[in-house]
Amino acid sequence: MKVPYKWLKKYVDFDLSSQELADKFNVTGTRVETLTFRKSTFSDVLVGKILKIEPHPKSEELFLCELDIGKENLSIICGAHNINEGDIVPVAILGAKIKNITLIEKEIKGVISEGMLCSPMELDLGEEEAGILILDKTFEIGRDLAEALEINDHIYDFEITPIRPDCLGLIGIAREVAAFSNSSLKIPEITFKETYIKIDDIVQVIVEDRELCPRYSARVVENIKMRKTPLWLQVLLKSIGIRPINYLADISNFVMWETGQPLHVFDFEKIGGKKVIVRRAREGEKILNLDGKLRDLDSSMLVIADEKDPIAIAGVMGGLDSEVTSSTKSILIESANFNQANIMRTSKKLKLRNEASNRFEKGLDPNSTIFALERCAQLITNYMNADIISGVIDVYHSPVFTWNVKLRPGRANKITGVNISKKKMKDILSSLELEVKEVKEDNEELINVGIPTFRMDLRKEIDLIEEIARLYNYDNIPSILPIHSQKGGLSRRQNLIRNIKETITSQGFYEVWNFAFDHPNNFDLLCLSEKDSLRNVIKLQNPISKEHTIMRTTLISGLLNSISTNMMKGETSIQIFEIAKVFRPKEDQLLPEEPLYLGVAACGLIKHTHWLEKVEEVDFYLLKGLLEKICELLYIKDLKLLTLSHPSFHPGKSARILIGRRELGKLGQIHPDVQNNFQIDLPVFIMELDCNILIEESQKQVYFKEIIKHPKSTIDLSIVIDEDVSWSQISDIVKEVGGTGLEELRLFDIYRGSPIEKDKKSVAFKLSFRDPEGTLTDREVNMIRNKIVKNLKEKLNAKLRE
Amino acid sequence: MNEKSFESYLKDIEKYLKNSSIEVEKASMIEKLEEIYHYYLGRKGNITHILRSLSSIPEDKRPIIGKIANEASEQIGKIINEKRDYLKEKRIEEILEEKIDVTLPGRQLKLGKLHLLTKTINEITNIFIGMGYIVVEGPEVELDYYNFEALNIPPDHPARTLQDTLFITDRMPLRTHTSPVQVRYMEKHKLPIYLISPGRVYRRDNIDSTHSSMFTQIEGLAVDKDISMAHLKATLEVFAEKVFGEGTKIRLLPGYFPYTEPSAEVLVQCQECMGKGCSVCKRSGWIEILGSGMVHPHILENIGIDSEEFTGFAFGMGVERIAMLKYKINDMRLFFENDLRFLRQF
Ligand SMILES: [Zn+2]
Repeated sequence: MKVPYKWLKKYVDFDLSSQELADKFNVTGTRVETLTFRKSTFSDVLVGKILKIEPHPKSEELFLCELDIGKENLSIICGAHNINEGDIVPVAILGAKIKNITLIEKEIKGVISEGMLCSPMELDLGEEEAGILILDKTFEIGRDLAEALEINDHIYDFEITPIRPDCLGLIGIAREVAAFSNSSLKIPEITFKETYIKIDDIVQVIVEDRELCPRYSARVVENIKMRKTPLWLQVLLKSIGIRPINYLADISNFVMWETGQPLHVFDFEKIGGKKVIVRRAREGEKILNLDGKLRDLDSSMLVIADEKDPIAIAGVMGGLDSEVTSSTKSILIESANFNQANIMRTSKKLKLRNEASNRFEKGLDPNSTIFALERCAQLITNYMNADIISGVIDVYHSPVFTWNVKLRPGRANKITGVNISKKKMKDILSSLELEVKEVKEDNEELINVGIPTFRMDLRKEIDLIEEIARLYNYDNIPSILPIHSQKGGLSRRQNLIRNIKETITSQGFYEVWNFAFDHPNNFDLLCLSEKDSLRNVIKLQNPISKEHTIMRTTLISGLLNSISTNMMKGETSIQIFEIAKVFRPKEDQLLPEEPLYLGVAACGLIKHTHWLEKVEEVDFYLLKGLLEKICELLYIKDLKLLTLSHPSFHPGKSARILIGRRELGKLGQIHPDVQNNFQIDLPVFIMELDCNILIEESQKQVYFKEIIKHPKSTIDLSIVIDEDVSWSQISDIVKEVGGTGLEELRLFDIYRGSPIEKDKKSVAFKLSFRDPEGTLTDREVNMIRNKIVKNLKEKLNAKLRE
Repeated sequence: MNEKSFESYLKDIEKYLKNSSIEVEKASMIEKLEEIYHYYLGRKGNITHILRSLSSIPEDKRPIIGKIANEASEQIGKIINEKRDYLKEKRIEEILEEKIDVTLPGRQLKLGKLHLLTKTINEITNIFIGMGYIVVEGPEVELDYYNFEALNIPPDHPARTLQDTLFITDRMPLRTHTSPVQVRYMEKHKLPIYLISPGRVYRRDNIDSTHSSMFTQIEGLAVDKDISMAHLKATLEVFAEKVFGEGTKIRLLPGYFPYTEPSAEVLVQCQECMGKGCSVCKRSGWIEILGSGMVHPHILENIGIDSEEFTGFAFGMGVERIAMLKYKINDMRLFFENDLRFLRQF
């Protein structure tokens, strides 16, 4: 909602600069989005009167004009043919600036021109290029034109909240100014003459649906002689962001802007049967709108119809057939009140929103129709000399009257936290044109507040408290911290999630945040079968883009995309993770399941190349190491990895992860096909875990274990064993035989090749023993060692390597 | 008494002088020198011993032996000191020769980073935990009831046109704010309640430098006896000072939200110009950072809370917006592009 400063001044007396006013608006809750200064594209152009026109002595195309510009007369050469003696015209005097060009004295064919007459185009006051702008006689000769037209002005652009449609009209905003500046509102007076013809004799209005149209008011105006829109109105419309069309449309737009009440003007001659019927559209009915589009209507929509067809979609858009044109002779002005919810639904359905529907859908005061109607009639007849038919048609079955709301001053102070006096509260409420009366009820002193219907938003005591608070000024509210006794803090789960994230970053991984949306195509890229459970998704009903049509069921596609884009940007070492929800439908339940997942991905080098260090690439064991660290953090002991068969993963380099018997997730190299699908050049390793299981399986409490003071004995063992014996087979035996005295088992070498025979490998590990009872003797250690070797030999066919 | 003869003393001294000189000559470490000193001149050293046993020799010879022994002691002490100085100097020289290029890059210890959004959420969360708040989370696919109706936004409410919503079904939107979490919590827990609810929220907004279809919010709620706007104001002042620095000022201006009344938009001093006015704050010196207000009595009553006895305040902020202001980030898309060059910066 745009309002020029000088226009506000016409409707309310106040003594504030444009900036002070903007501050006041903001402080009291009418948000000024922008305050801009609009400047004319010309200066030093005065209003002049042509006294005499003579031919130029040396040119047949030019004229020599004598102009009265108040203080003096000027002689100006002009080539336009549309001027006559006595015309009032814009005169650019020497030194004037027109679109950044300074006017200097010019000699044209031997005669000096002391200025220039201007065309509408030159002054940005119209499209006409040829011909001089002829002003009407009301302009004062010698006056600065920009000033006379009030072009140089500050323009406010307000952001009006949806509950204050009254402020979508200049008068509503002026009312706010009156309230916060303690000044009085000046509402234009309306007077005009009517003809002898009675409106009821020439038109009939039938409101069939009273619920959707609580009020319908109309007037008819005849003998219209179309004229160009006056300059002041053109200037105003442009500054408030409305394109001037023709005088009738411009005036109805002006009145809507002034009063907040949308109007519609029909060409009266085109209303069939001289009947206006407000009814629901019939199924299959269509209307050709003002914008040239043919729209299908349905019975949920309210239309204005003549005896046969719809001529407008009520409150949303008029029909082309009944549109006002330059040949229109008589009009019907509609000023109606429509059901807000219905207008909102219709405009949503038709994807059609405009200044009118935007106002109606916020719920307007039905008592504002008449003023707007009369104002429109007045402005039309004043300027066009048309005849206003006597009387108003006003179908208003259930009039809305003012209502009362009781305010407890103590309650207001309890909510605001200030001590505002009862008198101050009464002053604030009265300044808003509310009726204020002190009453006593059950020994409590109350303020009884009568609400005028233009404040549809004031229904409850709390609404009045808000009015008091905003006009009292929030800056005057003190700051007091609440004193309370709730136990604050993170839950165990929230703490663990934080700890997990920090543990992962401490190992060099960066956290990423991907969108929670996904696209089914990614399932194909992940090589998932048609029946894969990940394809059972939650779909978006109204997705915003083609890429984001479903809620994700896995973090893997997002991580692969993050790797891919970072690779393309030249990264050579990428280790990332994400902790986020995935979404999956749950049977017999309305809302989906939203388990929290942890996804980790690694690709390229473990570290960037360094002068002291060997360059290593990421592998399965990097992520496994991370998994082990997370389990260590959460005191999870029972971690197991089994072979995984999953279409997205490399069949020989991936694993299911279990804690005890619970499936925690999976870990491994991404299948080379999937890797190619995501356009990644290097092997990618991924781990995806269910955080909920991780947290459920974490140990809540651990207790201190006595630290053994006796020294430890360490031995190395190196065995040769069949290639397909796994480390867990070896370590299980070693741990079992080693018993409680085995403090640590550390694998430090795996070797293949000469002199080890083919299909065998050498495995070397370090064993540390410590006895809580005392120092282990060499003999004791040797005994355990031999026992381990013997067992490995018997069970796994292992040989000691020399 | 087994007296030693005068001559044997002289002989011993002579031997000690000679041996010590050889030993000192050989010593290559300061520790060895100390051993030698101890052996000859220490409290139980050989020379010391002779000086202490003077009483056992004839009185007339005592001064002679004494003099000789003292001279020997001085002599040995002197060569040890000289050698000590020499070794010390030599060690300094040796250490000086051990030089490295300290400008070479350090070994690459690995350290990843939390995402800036996580970091910011943690920071803000910690502030409120410090004020006794708890953290509550909830579903992102919500029921219309919790996302709208329970919050005073019935189906035809004009506020529904304010925010475009992503829907799974007609009655099941992706939450447009984290307020539903608060309603769910109030339904199940006793008062007083002081909570914040961080999390992802969704809007049907095209992604550009200031909008995203998914972003992050932190909302707060306090419901207790006699909670007022003064409490809201003080709480948000603490928040602003902790996030943006000591002395940061905020301002509350009237606003509109369906779920609060009175409502307040909260502005913070522009971090770019510190309140002087610049292009970032449109010359006003203030930047809007969050919405807040007193919980609408309807909402409390709907949940079965006596709105006469209990009042509350609520506030909500976009985490991206806070982070963008604090770290001077100019494009919201950076948060979800996961470019390592962005992630490494914070
Ligand atoms: Zn600034």
